Amino acid sequence: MNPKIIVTDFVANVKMYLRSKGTLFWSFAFPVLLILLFGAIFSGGGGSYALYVKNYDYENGVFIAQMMENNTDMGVELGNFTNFYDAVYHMFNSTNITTIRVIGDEDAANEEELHQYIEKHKGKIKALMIIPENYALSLGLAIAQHNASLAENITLMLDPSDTQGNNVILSVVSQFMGQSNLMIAGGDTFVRFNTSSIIQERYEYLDFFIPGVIGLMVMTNSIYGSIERNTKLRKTGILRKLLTTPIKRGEWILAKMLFMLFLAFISTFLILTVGGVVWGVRVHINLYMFALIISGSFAFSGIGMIITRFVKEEETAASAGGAITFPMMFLAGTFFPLEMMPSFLQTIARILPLYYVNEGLRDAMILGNTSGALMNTLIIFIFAAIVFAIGVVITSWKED
Amino acid sequence: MEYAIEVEHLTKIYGDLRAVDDISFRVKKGEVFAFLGPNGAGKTTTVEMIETIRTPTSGTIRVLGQDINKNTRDIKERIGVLPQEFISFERLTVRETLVYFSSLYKKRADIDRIIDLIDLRDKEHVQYQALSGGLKQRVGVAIALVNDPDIVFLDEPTTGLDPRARRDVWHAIAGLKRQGKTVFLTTHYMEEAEFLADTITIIHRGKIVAQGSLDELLQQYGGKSTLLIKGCDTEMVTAALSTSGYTQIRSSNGDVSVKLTKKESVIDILFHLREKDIYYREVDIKHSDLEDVFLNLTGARLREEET
Repeated sequence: MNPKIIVTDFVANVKMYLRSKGTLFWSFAFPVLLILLFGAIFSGGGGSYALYVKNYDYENGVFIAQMMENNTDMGVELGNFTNFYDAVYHMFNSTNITTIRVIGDEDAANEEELHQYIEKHKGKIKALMIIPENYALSLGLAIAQHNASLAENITLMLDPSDTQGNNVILSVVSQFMGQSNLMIAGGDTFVRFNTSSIIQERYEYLDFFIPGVIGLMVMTNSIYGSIERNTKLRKTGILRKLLTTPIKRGEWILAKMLFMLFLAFISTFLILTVGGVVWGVRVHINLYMFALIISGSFAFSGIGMIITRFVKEEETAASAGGAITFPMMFLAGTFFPLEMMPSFLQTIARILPLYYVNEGLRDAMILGNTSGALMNTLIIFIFAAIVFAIGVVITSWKED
Repeated sequence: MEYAIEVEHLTKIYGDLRAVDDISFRVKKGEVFAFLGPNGAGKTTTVEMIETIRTPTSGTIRVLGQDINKNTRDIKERIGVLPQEFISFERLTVRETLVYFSSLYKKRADIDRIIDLIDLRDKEHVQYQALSGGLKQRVGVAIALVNDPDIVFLDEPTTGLDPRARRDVWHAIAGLKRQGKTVFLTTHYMEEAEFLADTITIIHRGKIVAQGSLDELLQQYGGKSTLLIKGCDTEMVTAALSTSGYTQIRSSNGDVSVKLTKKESVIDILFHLREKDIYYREVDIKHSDLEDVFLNLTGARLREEET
């Protein structure tokens, strides 16, 4: 082994990588795009259903809120809200499924004006909740006396043409109502007007997704990287040229692996930065994470080398790479948890190396599950050792 | 006499094809040795076996006195190769490329000297992908020199280049000979072999059909010079010359060509034409070249549809 050769080759690779604007752009843009996209999809917000509210009782909300604060045995905690209705609106909004749009008195102060308003905004208002005057007071009375019939009725008007939206709104509203009713019946604190638990929900998916994206990038970089260098360098004659120089195959492969790891860690850094800055995802960075990324890189490079042993043309080899990476990407729990899939697919997932990389990264970075991380690291390490060794042995520079 | 390369009974068989069929030859130290033959003759297969890229089916190869199977790494340190259709790293500059390949060797030539020798100074900091075809090939030749090799192998170094770029590459190669390097050149361009080679070995269908210097080959296999009588009445000319005892006459499209049996034949033929008052536009003497040598040896043509 000549370390100078390895360093020279590594430096040359980094230079060429930095000079290839297209490659550079996409190797950055791809993971960033994935995280922004999936983060946006699963953080709700823009995609939620508008629930219009005409509240004839809003002013009383302040008084009711004070009453609820003073009578802790009512079992309602409003958190920072000084108006009971603000707390209710907030609760609907923080589901990320529904967004409250309040129709103010200036738009419609009474029933007749409300009808005109609905007529005017036909097609736009798909769900409207009407809260009658003194509703909060009646609810307070009902809670205090444990008598549900004292509460006034809330009217929910729905656009029958939008069945999907109706279902969503109905389920959210009835869940809210159901919980309120339970609360009234039992007197326990079922509903806290506190947002933290709900906010946490929306990040659960990203917590799941971010290690998956890292695994995905390690896989695609390594498989496509080794396919590209083996087929392209064979085509350009660089492999033939290298064969006439004293460089050893081992030195060359090691130099390339160094570069693959460099790319893998840049991707990881990028993913964690974007995930942290944009979506506030915090992860544990530990030895297992590094071990998994390194083992994964070796394993997938080995797979790439094996592919190019049998498929020699650049285009065909890239397709073969796609045929391996695509199913693996979806089956190994990158985008959604394995539990969502039928059991026979879950069984298949357990023979895929990416599954162990993903699970290990989740254990190490998110869940803090040391024994799980160790187990997955070991599995992928052994797999990498075998596959990479096969790849090295069968990769031949010599011409027939 | 010391030899740079000694090849004995070298054979390479692919399935039913004997790509290289029991060939033996020696390359003298310090000479430009041209391996000339049409595409598919077995040139590249042979040179790649000498370069240790391919494994021979049988036969022995000694490079710089050493068996290539025994001292492979040693030999690799002492040879420089430009593979056929070689494309280097597109996004490295000329200098970076030379430094890269130089780092693979124990012995390193001065990169600035190579850059000057191959005349790449003004392209030194240009990326390989931005170079013209001729410059790319010159960089390829330069790469072959980074370890100050004893033998330089150039496999079809000017294929696909325009005549001017080809000349530039030729001058770079001629420079190597002046440096005292042994150059092993494979080509299917006879002009290239004529221009550069001390020894020309002609290979056809895996076998060596002739070997020698240009003069030797022309003398031995070139056949006679030809007199071209252009812009004439071909029937009249043919008739006149036939009656005067000339046998190798060909006519086409207003031109007649006659093989000259001896130097004086030219005067003799022109005298006959004047005597019979036959008009012709002009005459031209065509000496035999490697094309004729190849044609005479194999009955096939060396060059394809290019002139």
